[in-house]
Amino acid sequence: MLFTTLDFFIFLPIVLIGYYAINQKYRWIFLLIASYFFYAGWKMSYLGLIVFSTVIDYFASNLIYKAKNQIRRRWLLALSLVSNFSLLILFKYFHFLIGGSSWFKHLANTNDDAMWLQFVFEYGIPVGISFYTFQSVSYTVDVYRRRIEPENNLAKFALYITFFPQLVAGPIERYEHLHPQIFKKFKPKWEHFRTGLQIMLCGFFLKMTIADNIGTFVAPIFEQPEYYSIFIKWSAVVLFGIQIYTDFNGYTLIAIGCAQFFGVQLMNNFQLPYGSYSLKEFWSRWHISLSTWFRDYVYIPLGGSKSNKFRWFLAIFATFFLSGLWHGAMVNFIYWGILHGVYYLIEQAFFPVKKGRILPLWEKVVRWIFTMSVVSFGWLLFRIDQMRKVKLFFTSTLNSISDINFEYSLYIPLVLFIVYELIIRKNRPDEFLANKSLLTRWTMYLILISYILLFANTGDLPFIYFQF
Amino acid sequence: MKKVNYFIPRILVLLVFAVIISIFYEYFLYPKTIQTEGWLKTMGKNTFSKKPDIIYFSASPNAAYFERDLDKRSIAQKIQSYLKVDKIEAMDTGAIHAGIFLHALQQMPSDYKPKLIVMDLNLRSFGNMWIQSGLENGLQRNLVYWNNYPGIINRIRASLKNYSYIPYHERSELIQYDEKFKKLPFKDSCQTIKKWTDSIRNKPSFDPIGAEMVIHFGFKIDKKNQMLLEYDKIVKYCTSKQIPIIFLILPENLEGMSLKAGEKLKKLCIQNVTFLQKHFSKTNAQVINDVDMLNASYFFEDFPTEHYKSDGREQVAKSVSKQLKNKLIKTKNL
Repeated sequence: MLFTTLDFFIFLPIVLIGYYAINQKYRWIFLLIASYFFYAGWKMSYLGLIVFSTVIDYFASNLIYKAKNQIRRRWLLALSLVSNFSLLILFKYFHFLIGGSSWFKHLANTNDDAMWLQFVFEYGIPVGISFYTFQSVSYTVDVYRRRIEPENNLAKFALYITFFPQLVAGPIERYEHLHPQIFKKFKPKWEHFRTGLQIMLCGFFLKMTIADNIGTFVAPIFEQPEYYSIFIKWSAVVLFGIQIYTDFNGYTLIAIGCAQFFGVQLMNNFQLPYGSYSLKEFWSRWHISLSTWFRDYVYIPLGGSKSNKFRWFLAIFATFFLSGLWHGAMVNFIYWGILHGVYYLIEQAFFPVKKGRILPLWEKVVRWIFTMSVVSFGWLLFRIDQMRKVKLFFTSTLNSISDINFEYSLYIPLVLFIVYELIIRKNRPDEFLANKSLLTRWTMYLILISYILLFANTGDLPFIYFQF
Repeated sequence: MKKVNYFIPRILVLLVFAVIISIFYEYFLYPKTIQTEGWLKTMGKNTFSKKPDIIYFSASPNAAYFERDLDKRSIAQKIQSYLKVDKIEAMDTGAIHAGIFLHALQQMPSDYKPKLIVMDLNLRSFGNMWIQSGLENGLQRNLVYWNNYPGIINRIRASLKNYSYIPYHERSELIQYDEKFKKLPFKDSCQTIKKWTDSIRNKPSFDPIGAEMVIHFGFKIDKKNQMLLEYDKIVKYCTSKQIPIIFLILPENLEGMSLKAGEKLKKLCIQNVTFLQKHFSKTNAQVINDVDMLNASYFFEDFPTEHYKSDGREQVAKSVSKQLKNKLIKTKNL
């Protein structure tokens, strides 16, 4: 069930009414059923995988917690990690690792079982598998590290994994942050609904009017770049940067607003990332829940910044490489991760920004241009489906299309987006609106609602991060 | 009371705002939306407003012309030149099918009733390749705009995908599933479309059009076929409105099929045609069967299906108009 469909607009009020109509003691059970229903909306068969992952991590974490023998604890952790990542690898990377190879293709042509496998792993990638797997893994590792105590109730643990607002595209929550909020006694106030609606409204605005309209505009350019002039191609790259940000941030805001209705504050995933003066800063503001996951479960265990230069170098490189791979089993994602890793290392080695140092304006401008150039080039690698197309972005033929009709449905929301980013900055929409007058708030509501009503894209553009 | 004082003015502001936005949209933006996303409505309105005697519902075969054609007239226009007395208007666009035809019929103004409806029974449209076509979501969205709701409501429904929307990758999955795993109605080594097309590709005289033909026509129509159910609804609708309807089974390149894909595919097509004729013989609809009327030279060479060169369209028009004259006489007794 997509957030931007009528199904969701019917589902959410029904769930809210049901949730608050029943006794507080049993609300979480209702929420669990609603979450499974929400997930089954994509495909019933996906449920089997998420239940499998939940059951494995539930038992593994409880056994890890009870085990006194360190070796046994390690084996149990390994069991959990192997089963989680096996599913992820099977569904996400099978085609990349095996399915796409010529010998397997040949096998699939001659053997029905191999053909079936190829089909299942090509089309059966469960929505949000990377998100819930990472959330589940963080829980088991935290139990192993004795940072948290495991949940004794399987169904309650299942709700931590499947809480529907953040199930399919994050934010990837940590147990100690999400779990207590879901189960705490909560008396709803109008304030929760008001702020939830404010956040969701901004989310719908970003996704439906900005991301999707830009998406429709840039898609043909990325599809056949050979037909367009260099200026248009690079405009498309920059616009794609805005599309992916507004698409993902839009989704996240809808998730955060929706969770607010149930008394849950999800973590922020973005904080004005395109206002960053360095890649380090960019990564502290972009997809924060994933960046911090990689920091805590990959970068620090590999040595982090406290180790020697060589290990630090390896840790950074591995983190970015895996971050690229997390997005999908395609070479372009790996190159994207490597690009960020390499530039991050160069930046930290030669141009680090010392903590507390206030940058002069000229340096801010230079650093911002450099950072955004790297990020934009990264988006080119991220967006194209075939690496051979990269060089087409640097060349132009004589008869290429150099004039494009920028429609009002594109440029007005684009201006609004820039204004939105400049006004809201690092705040969440509800934080920004908290101290504003009634007139300011309602002016903003009405502007956003009118743009959604008038300019929401009607095309076939699902959330970009659903594919991950 | 406090709550009432809080909510009532806010709800009122939203209502007034909704009305203003709706009026603004209706006058300034909706006409353009209809042009770009809801053109079926315009096409339907134009057709009905001319009050033709015969409406010809077709997909791209009606108007598609070969680049070297001197006479680029559509089948409907050519039929018109043969019929002389009765005025014929076509409703056609690429990938259109029975589901859309039915919606169009339901939108027909109450003060108008055509003498006859002629509708393509396009064999290919019964297959999954057509049913799950990449153009289908666009057509379904197009229908959202074809009703009497205020423009802004239609736009909201289109934005929130309140139509039979299936994401593109799911449609692709359904097609792939059928091609790879759905058993064909023969007992030989080619049990699936995939195996069949592979066997064609492995031949030294391989012609890619042959494989395309198998993909587009390699299915068996049964009573549960989605498109057949839509046609049944059309028959029911026309019967209830007392509008005579004639289905036209378009000529297919059977000669090319047996040459490029094998005799088996041709037989399957004929089986399907026989099934359709038998099926509709029990209804009020009449069927014109022209499936084997044209040889390969009348078809586009680079296209696997029912797209005709000018003389092909001429032949179809000639045959249809001849049979229509006969059937028109019969339908007057309805």
